[in-house]
Amino acid sequence: MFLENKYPIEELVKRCKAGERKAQEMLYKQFASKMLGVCCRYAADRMEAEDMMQNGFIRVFQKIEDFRGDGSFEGWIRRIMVHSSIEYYRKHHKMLQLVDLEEGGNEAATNPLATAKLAANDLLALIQQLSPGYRIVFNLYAIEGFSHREIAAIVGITEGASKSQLSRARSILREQVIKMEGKKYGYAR
Amino acid sequence: MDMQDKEFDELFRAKLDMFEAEPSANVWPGITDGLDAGKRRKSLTPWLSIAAGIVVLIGIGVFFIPKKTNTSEHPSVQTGVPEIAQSTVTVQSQPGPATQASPEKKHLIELKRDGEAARIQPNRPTNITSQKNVDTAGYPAKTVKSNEPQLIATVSQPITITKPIVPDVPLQTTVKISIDQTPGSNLIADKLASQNSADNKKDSVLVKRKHKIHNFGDLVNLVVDKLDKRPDKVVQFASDEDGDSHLTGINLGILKIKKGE
Repeated sequence: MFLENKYPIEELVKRCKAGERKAQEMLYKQFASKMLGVCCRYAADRMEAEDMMQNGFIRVFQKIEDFRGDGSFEGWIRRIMVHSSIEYYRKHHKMLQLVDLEEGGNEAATNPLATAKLAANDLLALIQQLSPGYRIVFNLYAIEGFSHREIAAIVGITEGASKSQLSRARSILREQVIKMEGKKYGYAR
Repeated sequence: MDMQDKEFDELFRAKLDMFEAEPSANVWPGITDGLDAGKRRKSLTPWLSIAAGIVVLIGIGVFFIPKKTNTSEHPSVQTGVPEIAQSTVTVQSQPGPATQASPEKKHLIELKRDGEAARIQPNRPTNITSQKNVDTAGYPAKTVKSNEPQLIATVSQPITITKPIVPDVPLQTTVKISIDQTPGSNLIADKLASQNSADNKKDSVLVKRKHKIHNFGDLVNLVVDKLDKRPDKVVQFASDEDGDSHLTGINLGILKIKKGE
């Protein structure tokens, strides 16, 4: 964004720690688009994603004293957004029906090259159609790179539940990708 | 996880990991509102606890302080007059032991006391009214005429304060006069003077009481007199003709018991 090169992150963080509202706004503007992109993957729609991001940034500025500069600030703020998104579902009781499922064996085979042709917005639309439980586990595993043990700890489910939720999410996504490919490119099997 | 799953995940990661979206304009105001609300909650927390503490203290005060003042405010204007009459009677009957020392002086003292007693009775109402005038003079005329209960309370307070003072102040003067006029009446004068100086409470019951310590009740009264300066003592004893002491009053602030003479 336009302020990106004006102030280094370290200085903005320092001023944010002092509670300077202008610096907070600059920091927000610098990271808002990226963080909304993160929240969009966990949300069912744009409005929900903005609510998640709003809560996330409030937490960022409240906890910014805890950031000691050990890792990248973007990584730190991103983790807060992910936790804020999961917390959002906890508060709204939308994701607590996670149960261990048998890993599905009859997954539809997809053509990776065909999937690669789908735009980011298309894939996002597919993820957003998943139920919250599947969406969160898929995001945490496939995109954030967490292990099932870590997911179990973050979400508050068993590792088995995490595995089965991921498997089911993939299965649904594959079916949806095939449908979408068929619609877009005439690859219908 | 087979290769297909890994590739599938990687495709999503590649497309969505760096996905960005422009937020609407109302997100930042929502963040600032949330931050301000959090600050307000934080800053209010200590003030709320202080306010709660003050409320508790006021509550305790409301429960206890009025009850203390009530005990001294209870005798109203109507009850004040008969008490004065009683005190004058006791003064007249007081010089029992003194008569044996010098009967002539007894007459003199009785006369003087009668005179004082006669003076006291008319003086009492005038004292009350003058006190009222003094008090009300300090307030605007409007508030004096109003029927607010608060004003009544302020008027009744000084009356109760002056009540115990009235009977004894003249007594001291008469004793002094009698000493000056009759040197032979030292015994009577000493007794009366010591009685009046020792008994700061000026209560009619106390005036009536003999000041030699004859029994346990007298001893307790003497100690309580020194410690408790209220008109109604925490414990009061009275001696009967046989020299036995009887409990006549208890004043524990909230609990107040007083036996009639």
